[in-house]
Amino acid sequence: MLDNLPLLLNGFSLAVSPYNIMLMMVGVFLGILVGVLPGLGAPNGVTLLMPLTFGMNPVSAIILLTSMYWGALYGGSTTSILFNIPGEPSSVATTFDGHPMAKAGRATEALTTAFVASGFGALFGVVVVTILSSWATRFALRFSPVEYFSVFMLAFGSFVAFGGGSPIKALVSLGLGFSWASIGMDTVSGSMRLTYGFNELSRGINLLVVVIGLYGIAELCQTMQASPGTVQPVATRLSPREVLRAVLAMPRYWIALLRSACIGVWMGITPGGPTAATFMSYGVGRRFSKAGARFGTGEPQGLVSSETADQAAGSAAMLPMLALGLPSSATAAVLLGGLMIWGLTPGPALFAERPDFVWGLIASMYVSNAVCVIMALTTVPLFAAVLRAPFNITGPLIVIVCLVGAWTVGSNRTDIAMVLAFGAVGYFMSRLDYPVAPLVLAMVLGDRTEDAFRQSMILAKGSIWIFWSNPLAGTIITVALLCFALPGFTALWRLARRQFLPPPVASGR
Amino acid sequence: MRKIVAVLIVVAALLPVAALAAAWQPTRPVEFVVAAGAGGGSDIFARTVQSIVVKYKLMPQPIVVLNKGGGSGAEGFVYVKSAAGDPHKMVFGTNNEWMLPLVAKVGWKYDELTPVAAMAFDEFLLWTRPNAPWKSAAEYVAAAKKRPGEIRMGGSQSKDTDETLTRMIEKAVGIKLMYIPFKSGGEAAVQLSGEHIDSNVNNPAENVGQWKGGKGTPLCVFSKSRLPAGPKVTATMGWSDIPTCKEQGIPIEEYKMPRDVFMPGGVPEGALAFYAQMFKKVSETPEWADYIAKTSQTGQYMGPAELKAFIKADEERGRQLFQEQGWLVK
Amino acid sequence: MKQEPGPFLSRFVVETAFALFTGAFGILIIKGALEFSVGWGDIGPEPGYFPFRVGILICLASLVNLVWAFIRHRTLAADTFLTAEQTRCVAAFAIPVVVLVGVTAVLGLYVATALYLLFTVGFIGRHRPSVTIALAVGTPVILFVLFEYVFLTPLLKGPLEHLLGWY
Repeated sequence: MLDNLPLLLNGFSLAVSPYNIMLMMVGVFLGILVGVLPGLGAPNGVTLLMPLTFGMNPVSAIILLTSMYWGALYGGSTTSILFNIPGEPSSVATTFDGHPMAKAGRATEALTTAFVASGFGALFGVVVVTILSSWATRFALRFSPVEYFSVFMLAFGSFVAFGGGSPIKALVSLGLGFSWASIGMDTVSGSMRLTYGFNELSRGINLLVVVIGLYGIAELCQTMQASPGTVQPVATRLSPREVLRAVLAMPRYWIALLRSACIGVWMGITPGGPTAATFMSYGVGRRFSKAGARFGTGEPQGLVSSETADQAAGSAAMLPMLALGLPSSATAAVLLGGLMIWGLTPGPALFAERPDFVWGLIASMYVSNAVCVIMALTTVPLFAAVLRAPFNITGPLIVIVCLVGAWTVGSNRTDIAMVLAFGAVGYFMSRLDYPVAPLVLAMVLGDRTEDAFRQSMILAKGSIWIFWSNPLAGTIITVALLCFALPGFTALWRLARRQFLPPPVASGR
Repeated sequence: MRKIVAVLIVVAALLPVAALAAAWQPTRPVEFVVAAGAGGGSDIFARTVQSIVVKYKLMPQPIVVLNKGGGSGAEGFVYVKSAAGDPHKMVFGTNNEWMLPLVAKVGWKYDELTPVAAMAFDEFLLWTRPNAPWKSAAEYVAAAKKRPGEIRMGGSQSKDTDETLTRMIEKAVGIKLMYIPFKSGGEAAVQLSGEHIDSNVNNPAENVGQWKGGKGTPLCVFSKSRLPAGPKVTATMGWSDIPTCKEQGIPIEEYKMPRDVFMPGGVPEGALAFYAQMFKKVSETPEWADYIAKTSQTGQYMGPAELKAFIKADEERGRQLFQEQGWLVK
Repeated sequence: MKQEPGPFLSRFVVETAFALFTGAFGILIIKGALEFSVGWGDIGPEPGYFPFRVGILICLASLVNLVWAFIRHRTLAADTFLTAEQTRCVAAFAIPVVVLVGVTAVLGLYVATALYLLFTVGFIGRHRPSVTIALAVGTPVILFVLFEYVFLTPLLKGPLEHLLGWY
């Protein structure tokens, strides 16, 4: 394990030059910018910057691009918190507690908490990458479609089963998500499903378009209706002292930080990816944290759960990308293309062949994430000030940002109209207490889960016992099924207690 | 003075000729639509062409690259088809332009787009997992004959190039394989190195990382002749050490995937000629040669007429094969 | 929420309408799935297998929600979904957005943005003309510079940009 240390030190000597630090700052700055604009996001940003890097040496090139990626992840959280518009799919879970906090006048605290939690998650991810690189690579290689399916089920189980509200309405929400995810090309059969002959549907429905509508537009409708005519701007304290106070409060959440970082790293190395990681971490937090009951109402620990997991997964996912050539996010896929153009071959041999590149990158991740946290924190008062503007100005501007975002996702006219339709659906769903999050999770994992299941069935010739054919898959799927069964067990337990024990004196704890 | 006048007269006389030669020029930014997601083979292809066109200033207008990879590329082709007559849009793809309409309900027919050029051909190899009991393609076939339907073959997508080649192999040597479709060739490569599948038919660039790391070995290449010798990839082998599949007793003459460019239907002749000429120039640059070498493809330029004939023949072959497999969409 | 006079929409109406909507959507999914075989073939589930069952699931769940709404009819009918005043507010926000999307398709994003901001900030928001003009002109200009030059991502353009020769 420690034999990686000299390699890492060598990496630092390569990565930490004034030129590279400057690239990091440029990358992070551009990243925050594209991250703040929903729809543009990290994958587009990195793609646009790619041609500039063709003439650079690979270490500097990847430092520039990954810095942009980290910056975009931070920027994505900003809009989630301030306007309920997730800039990236992986910051959907950030809206759950971040936006209620901002609405309650705690925008500064929310942004600061999110950025510091992200920084911790990233650091944790990089440390794992540094120490466990070869072990983690071998571990990731053990994942066949059978294990993929088990991991996806675990993500579903830990998020969906721990939620509250009407289970029937959650079922409708899940169903809608699944069906939207299966529109378009079906990998396993090669046929176009649920397109009803419309060309526009053959490309499938983009997750970001759904999310911008369901959260961004729907939230605007809610705000407009809640207090008629003139919505008062939110009073937000902007002093740097407020930022400092929020930073100093972070150690109190150490359990949430560690738990979420571990979940994030797990989902980054296994093929779950950052978005699923945030949902899973949030679900687990809601169930096991003491503050769980307050999740969704503006609880900092909820924010910590999603943000830490997001960044931990993002950093840890660099490992399967470099060592296996397996992209776990859209951005990683673009970076993989870049590696090829710079003349590097991602794969098991890359670590031995180009240690300078690999360890330069890993070392740069330590530094660039520190740059990210500092730069992001300095933007906090600026962004929080936006909320002070009168809402009949920010409202229309947010509408414009949503529509521009919808367009940049795929340069497609119909997406703009679709955002509106999803906005209406989202408005009615949240007013009628249909949970929206299961829908998003089903869209993120739906078709991958179905693919993994059907691939497993091909491998097993139709026998579902393949999921218990080896200890790894067997354990994960059993835990997942237990998660699903848990609400049933607790209900039974309560029933039994009521039957056999005298009722507790006071209601509640 | 008189000299200058003479020169001017000559120039004036030559102008119409020059104008005729450069009859058509793009007047707006040109859209390069990629019928694949960012980072994929077609994306790298389009962006490499873009960087070369920009570097050598082969066009007076800027280029905008758009990824429209939804529905296995259907999104990009439909987008360009619906821009009929627009000479400022083109789509970068592969043989899916004419193969996809055969097997899936999509919004275009292969002859509704105008072929401009094919610039490279990607090779296909038969790869096997590490620690496989067979050491050659011949032994692989023998093993598959003994255990029909048991040998696992992974590939990208269903009824696409990889499964097509798999079915061709089955037919050619009389075996039955278990085909498992994955999202991409890269995913199939990782499954191969994890020994979850026995073999795949990836392009060189998709599997070379695994090969270098000893996590997968090439058995044979579906080409008329061996690949050009380059630097050694592993300690003992280079590309030219891989036998052709024909040598190994799999009677498939050759199987290649073109990297090609299409314009919408009904574009002016002059525009077509302009772009065909531009892509020809691109294919003659050292940067292009570098791209071809790095991705282990075969560089081969085909102009509009040649490509059109190639597509017609290939579509006919595909239709016949898919007919036998029962894949044709109604 | 404030108890305002003049309930416009009762929760019961919206609850049933939405259940009917999701139910109809479920039927649509079932119909789409039936274009393929929905059984368990010799290599596992066929393409229509999951969509078909998901469609049925949505239909059944919608039915339960519908029945539940009727069972709780008395409470739900008394519960206000939107008051007349709230409806007016939501409409004042939503209708310009719908128009904006329609206009965008014809005139492009830049021009539509300017018109929309003129209307919402100036006419609905009653801000000073200077603020309105600054926003209505400044926003498209900033978007233009940011997207066309910095990010090289062209936004949707219309006849005006065509006339100016930008596209």
